[in-house]
Amino acid sequence: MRRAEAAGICAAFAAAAALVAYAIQRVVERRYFPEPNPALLIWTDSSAFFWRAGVSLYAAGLGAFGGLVLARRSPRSAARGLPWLIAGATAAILAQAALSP
Amino acid sequence: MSLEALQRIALLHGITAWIAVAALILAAAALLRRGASPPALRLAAVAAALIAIAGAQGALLEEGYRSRLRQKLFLQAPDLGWLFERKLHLAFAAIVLASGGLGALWAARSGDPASRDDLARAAKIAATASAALALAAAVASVIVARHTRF
Amino acid sequence: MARGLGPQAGKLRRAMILATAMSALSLAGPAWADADTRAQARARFDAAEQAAAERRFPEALAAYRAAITIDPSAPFSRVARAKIDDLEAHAEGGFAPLARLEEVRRDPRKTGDRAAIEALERDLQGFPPGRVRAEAELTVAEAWWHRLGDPKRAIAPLEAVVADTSADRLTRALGLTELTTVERDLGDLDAACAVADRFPDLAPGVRAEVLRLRRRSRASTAALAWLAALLAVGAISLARAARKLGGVDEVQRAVLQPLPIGFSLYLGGAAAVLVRLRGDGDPRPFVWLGLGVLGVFAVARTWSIASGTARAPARAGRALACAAGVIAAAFLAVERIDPSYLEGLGL
Repeated sequence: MRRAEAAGICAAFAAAAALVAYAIQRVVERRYFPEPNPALLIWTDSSAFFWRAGVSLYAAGLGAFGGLVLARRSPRSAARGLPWLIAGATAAILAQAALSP
Repeated sequence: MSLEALQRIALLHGITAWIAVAALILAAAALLRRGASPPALRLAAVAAALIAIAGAQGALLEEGYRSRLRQKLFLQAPDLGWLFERKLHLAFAAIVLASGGLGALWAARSGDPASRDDLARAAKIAATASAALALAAAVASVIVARHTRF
Repeated sequence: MARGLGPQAGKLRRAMILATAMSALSLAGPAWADADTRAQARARFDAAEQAAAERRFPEALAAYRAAITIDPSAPFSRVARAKIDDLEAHAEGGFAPLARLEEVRRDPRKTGDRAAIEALERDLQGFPPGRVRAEAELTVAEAWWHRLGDPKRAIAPLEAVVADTSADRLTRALGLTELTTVERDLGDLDAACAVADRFPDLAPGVRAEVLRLRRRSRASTAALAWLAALLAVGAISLARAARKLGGVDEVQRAVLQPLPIGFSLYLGGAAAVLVRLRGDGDPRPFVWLGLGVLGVFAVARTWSIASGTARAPARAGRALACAAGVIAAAFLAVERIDPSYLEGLGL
């Protein structure tokens, strides 16, 4: 497999992993670690959004490694699964934004 | 950051974001019409760069939003507050999908013909989703900005 | 006219003066009586305080009672009532046990004196059931544990407090908390759990805590055992693989490849950086996690080379074993560095 192809697949897997991680984090946050009512919250010193984004990018890295391993072992499987992965990750983030903002 | 600086960055952020939305829509359209072609790849790269820049500008505004606007927004119009929270999620997703779509497109152009169609399909899904989510985020921003701004 | 009213006016004037004087007397009378009563009550209260300080508790009780009988509205009457209630609750044995307990409890030298504590421990065996006995047992236990540095000798009196149904619930619950803490300090979690299980309703929070700690201890033992087993498998596999490939160097080249090393470093390093950037977390568990994963991967790869079989069940078995190894490494890393992360998992 060519390096450019592998890098591209890694980036796509990374994106899917980042979206899923973000959606899961937000759902878990809202369910188990709810923040105080924003209408009453004057100030927080840390940004929950940045933390979520940071963890999602970390998950993206892990996804990239996973994508690379799969792409090396079976490029066809990696390519075949990618559309489903992207679609699934998009659906996950849409569902989270709708139901658990 | 001073209020004036926040206002300037917010204006710049709005302009960049809408240009990025236009670029993403064009890139998605090019992909859907012409597949994994060089123009589609160039458009996708420009769109991904623009949405990332818009995201960086938004990141600069985040602290100002959190300290000056968020509580006020939720007190006066909680629905708009939650709309803006959604905007943040959609904007993040749009940036990530733009990058992922670009990666899939790059792989489709460089890769094995047997995988090309699947990779191109993944790129189309990502590009279309990115454009749609970016548009939704931009519209949400405008709705909220009409009520509350720096 | 004035001459006609003169004698009558004089009578009237005398009557008025007398009435005024009597009114004044009747108004002044209770204030004089109150001051006197208050002073008497105060004197009885002070006497009660003195008697209590000198451990003459029957006299103290009688004096407190007298004080509030003489002047129920005195400012010190509330204190007197509280002291009466307290003394009545500790009155078993005619106050002799209480006097014996206070003799030690009030003297910091005696609470740190082995002979005095041993003597109290002997004497309290003869105390009648009640609060004083339980408090004496607690005093003895705390002296053995903290002042005299002999926690093992605190166990028996604490067990007695917990089992003493004549003691009040709060004292028993405190005894249970102390007993489980002593057992934990002595490294005997099973004993702590056993005593918490014997009295599950006395302090449910304490029971939940010790059961959680026992779960954590068992998980830690299992994780260590699993990693030791993997290490043994790795060592055996290394020998076999070296024979197969023609030397340890060959094995090293086959096992330590850039991708797994990169993944392990990313897994631990990037997470550590993220936590550090956030500012309030400890990055060390993640660094150890990355190193643990690298170690498990090396074992997995060596094992795969040594076994030589690519059949799906064998591969699945190896994968599962090594995945469990990763979880064990992660658990131990977190447990050694900051176990509070585990509390959310019930460990």
